[in-house]
Amino acid sequence: MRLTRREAATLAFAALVAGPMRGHAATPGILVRSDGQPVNLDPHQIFDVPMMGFALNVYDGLYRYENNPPELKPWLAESHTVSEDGLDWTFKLRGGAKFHDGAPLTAEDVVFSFRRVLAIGKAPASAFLPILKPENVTAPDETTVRFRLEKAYGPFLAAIPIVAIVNAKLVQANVKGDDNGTAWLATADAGSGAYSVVAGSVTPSEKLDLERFAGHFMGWSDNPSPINKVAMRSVKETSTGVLGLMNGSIDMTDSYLPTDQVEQIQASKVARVEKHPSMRTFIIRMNNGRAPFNNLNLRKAFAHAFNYDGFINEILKGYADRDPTPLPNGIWGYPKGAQGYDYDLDKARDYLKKAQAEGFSLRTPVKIHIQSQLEQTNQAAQLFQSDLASLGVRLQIVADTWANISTNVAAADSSPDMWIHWVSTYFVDPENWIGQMYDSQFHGTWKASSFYKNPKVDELLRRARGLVKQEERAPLYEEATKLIMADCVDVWIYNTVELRGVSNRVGGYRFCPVGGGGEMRWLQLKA
Amino acid sequence: MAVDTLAVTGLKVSIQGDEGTARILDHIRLHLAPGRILGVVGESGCGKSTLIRAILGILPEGARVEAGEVMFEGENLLAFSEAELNRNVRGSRISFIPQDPYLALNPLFTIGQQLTETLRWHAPALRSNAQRRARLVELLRRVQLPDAEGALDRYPHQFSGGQRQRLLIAAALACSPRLVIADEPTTALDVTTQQQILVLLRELVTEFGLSMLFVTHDLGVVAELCDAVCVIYSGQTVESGPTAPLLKAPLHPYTRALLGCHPERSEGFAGIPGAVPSPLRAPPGCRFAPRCAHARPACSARAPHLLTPEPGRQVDCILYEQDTVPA
Amino acid sequence: MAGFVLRRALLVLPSLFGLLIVTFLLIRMVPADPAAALAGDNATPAQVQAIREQMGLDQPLPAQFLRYLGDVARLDFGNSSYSSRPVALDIRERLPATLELTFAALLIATVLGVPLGVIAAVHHNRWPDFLLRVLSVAGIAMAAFWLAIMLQMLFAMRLGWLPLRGQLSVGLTAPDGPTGSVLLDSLIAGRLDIFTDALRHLVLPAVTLSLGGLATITRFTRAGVLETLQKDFVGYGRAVGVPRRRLVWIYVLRNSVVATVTQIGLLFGGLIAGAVVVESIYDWPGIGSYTVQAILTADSKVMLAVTLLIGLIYAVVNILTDMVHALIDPRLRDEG
Repeated sequence: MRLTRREAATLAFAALVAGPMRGHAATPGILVRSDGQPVNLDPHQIFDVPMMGFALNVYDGLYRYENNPPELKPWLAESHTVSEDGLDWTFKLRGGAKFHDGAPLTAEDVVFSFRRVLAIGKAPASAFLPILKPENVTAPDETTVRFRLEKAYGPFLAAIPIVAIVNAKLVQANVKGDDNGTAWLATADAGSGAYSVVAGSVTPSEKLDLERFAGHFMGWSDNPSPINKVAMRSVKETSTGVLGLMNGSIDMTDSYLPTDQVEQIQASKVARVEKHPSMRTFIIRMNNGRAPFNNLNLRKAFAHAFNYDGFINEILKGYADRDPTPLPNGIWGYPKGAQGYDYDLDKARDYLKKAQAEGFSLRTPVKIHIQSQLEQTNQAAQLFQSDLASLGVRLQIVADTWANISTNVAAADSSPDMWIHWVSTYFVDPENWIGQMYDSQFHGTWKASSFYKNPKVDELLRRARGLVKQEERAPLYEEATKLIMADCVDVWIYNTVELRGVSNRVGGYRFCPVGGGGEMRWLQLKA
Repeated sequence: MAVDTLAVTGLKVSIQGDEGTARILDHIRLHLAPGRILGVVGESGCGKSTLIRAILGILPEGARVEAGEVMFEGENLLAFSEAELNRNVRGSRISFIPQDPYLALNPLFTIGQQLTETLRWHAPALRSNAQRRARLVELLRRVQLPDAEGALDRYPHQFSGGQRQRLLIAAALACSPRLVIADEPTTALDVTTQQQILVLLRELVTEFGLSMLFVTHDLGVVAELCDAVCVIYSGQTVESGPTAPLLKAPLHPYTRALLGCHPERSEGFAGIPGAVPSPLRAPPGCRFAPRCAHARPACSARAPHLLTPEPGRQVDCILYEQDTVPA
Repeated sequence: MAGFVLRRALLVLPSLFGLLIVTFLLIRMVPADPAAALAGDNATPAQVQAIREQMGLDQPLPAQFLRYLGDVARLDFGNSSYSSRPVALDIRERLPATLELTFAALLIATVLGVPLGVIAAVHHNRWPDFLLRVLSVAGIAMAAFWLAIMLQMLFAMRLGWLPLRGQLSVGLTAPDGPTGSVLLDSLIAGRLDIFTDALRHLVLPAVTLSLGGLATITRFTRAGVLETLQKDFVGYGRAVGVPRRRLVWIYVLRNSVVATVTQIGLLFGGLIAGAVVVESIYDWPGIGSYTVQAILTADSKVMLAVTLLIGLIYAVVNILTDMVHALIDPRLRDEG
């Protein structure tokens, strides 16, 4: 849970009255992470930030993202080839990988894992369901996996790391009825990753313990003193996490530290804040599919009325990078020298006059839905509200929840006028952002909740999706992005800087936008 | 002559309330000779309960004794500390029979638990609970309670009104008191039961060599039970004397009015014009004066003092002033 | 007594049934669709629909309800759509922690609240009474969140006496046991080290949770004692020389706690609700934080089961309250 302002104020006050601290609760030899665990440990059922923080350590994929900006590196696979038409993909496994139970990891396990993801059909499957049939994943021999796609799909390789490879025999032994072993794997470990789950240590959504897997296929030669034991503990209130970091009982918080906590932690001498630009974008959506935002001039008026610098510098204390486009900074396909819309109330006023001439009435309030438990969405809405008020526009803030909004976006009529969200990096490909946000075939999903429809953009995005070579796809995305920006579809605000509190006894920290720095293979714990 | 068991003189008690100071007892004087039963008679609100509380030293919060003496077997109880009263007076030398036996018993505890409580503090000779219970059973038999043994393990609501009063009478006798104060012990009972209880009390006083202060508003009961009477009106003793002559030839206009309106059972005082004055706004001098057919201006000016028109009798009324000297 | 309990227990069933209907309708009135969230960010509407069908959410409401009712009758509460585990299993694992916390809080509130209430009443309108009145208003008004952070700052951070969060120290594992409660199971297993550690972890959450109840119990005990002090039997007790202290602490108290017991019963439900906040702050692995997560993710099977559970707990506590009343008051026993 993110900190509300009341909570933050309380915390600041508490820090003031507390004075010097005597509590010293570090656990020797055990790294304690407070960034929580996925609600269910099956990497084929869940695909979100906590799952990545878990799966990157317990499971392996064919490829893996590393570093910042992320680079796609061969992992269980040592290489791959793709046919000219982009339909046939062949991955060659490097030999010698073993699961935690000692069984060798073979091409059969890879086939089983992809088929299982498709059969379960939940979050990790969404990128593959439209292009891959289960029977078209095959293993001609022990170290070769072949995929034949229904149609060419440019982001296929980028999405490959989503699928964690599970121990086929182990999962099959625990299948009940037609559940694909989902009930069992929800609290168990069938992985080959650098860490394994300690049996009996799992309380769902609360805690689990990990221990180092000495037999990991990558070996440990690049980290002579790795961490052997890890305790993952879900901390629900940010304040508790920050306090734990300061008294040593927690070594790593989640990577969404509220910006007003940064100074306090930096000054503490026991911990630091790791600040890394990520690829998570922050966006105010406008519902182009109906009045009032089916009016370009009104959208432009709004885009000029948001105080980008004020929000980033004052409210976020500078811990975010301005990004005027729908794509994250630093990704390929990003239009060079993109200007975007600036905070300029005079321009906003001009566009507003035009919008009024075209029928927009100041008497109708515009509704913006925030996610109540995410304080930053509220802060952005309030800032927006005050600037719009000076233009005579009434912005009404509606407190809402993710579950509710993501249901209402099914149709333009039920979807809110405006709402606020982040877009995280599920796979590093422009498809993850503009492809899924602005291609009209995705209307009805939350990512496409602008209900934007531009045949030219649709055409560009679909063409880019069907190509495999990055150098062919990049110009198409650049052009589409420019069109989308000219149509001022949404209010694009910033590119996240992830802030994670890390104890000073933790060394070797590395960050990658995929997984948010949750991978632990290279960490050390100082005595 | 033997020392009076109880002698109250010049007792003044006031209560500090929200509306001001009310002098509940203004001029109380009474004497109880050993082995006798003294009836204290007055209407409700005349201060009878406050008198009992003043004697036992359990006045409510805000109440204060302004003047007077409460002599018990030659000792002034008003000089006793709370601890001394608890240790040596209440429940031991002076015991108490309440008006409503049902309300006086705690509904959530057995009779045995409640009644042995007094013995625990005031009968040190009885070491164990079994001894205390045995003593109570013996007394319960004496007061003719059916199933005396079983009674101790029952709860108050499982007894009839008369049985409950017998329980409390037995409890009052348990620590061999010198004085029993009975606060209208028969008012809540039906006539037949009332009669039985009165007979029982009379017997017990003789049998146990007690003295008894019997507070009531019922002149009929007084006539039957008491050796002497003390009549109180609005916190003032107006008349006292041996029962028979007092009832036959009452001296004070108030006593006369009281007997006049209901010669046998003084249930209502409606026959007297006017109403009892509020102690907050009590008239000076004789408080009955505003209602008195014989009142004179001097009645309100004169401080109360008792006269002795004939031996053994006392009255506080200006009518008798010329006949005798102040007592 | 047995007949009384049986009669009351049978009366509970229709109430629980009504509770179930209302909850079911309420959950379905909120448009939040768990299938959309499960399908993931990139899912097409067709993929979402497939999951919806898999979960039976596409069927008409009465059919869904009947199916659920049938499952519940067989004590099958379904699977959480997020954890993929049987809800009953999740609850069985988490309920002991919440009960541990609530009972500890109730114990603190009662053990302190009753004597404080008596002291306030005995010193009616004098300084101890005023002080306790101010404190009890503060206790009710103070946000659990604020208090929790203050306690954490003082005892975990500044003094370092107690742990900041969690149920056990990192590195310790609760022994398996028949009760599921770490405290009890560690005692049964003879692991005093774990018991002590668990107890130390319990202190701050329990104190935080107890505060509102402490204030309520103090107030009700005070009011009850004040009222009982006016009763004739108190005057009689004093008149026959029973020491005031004994009169108050034994005889008056028993009469006064009737209202307090009712309050304690009501508080128990309130404490479970309060546990939601406390469990979140201290990361106590109970049903409070579980429920919050279920609500945020529209996990309807969990919400229904938890509602049913809380309804059941309320009912049981109500029956227990009545039984305690009958134990205290012999008149109720005789009425049968």
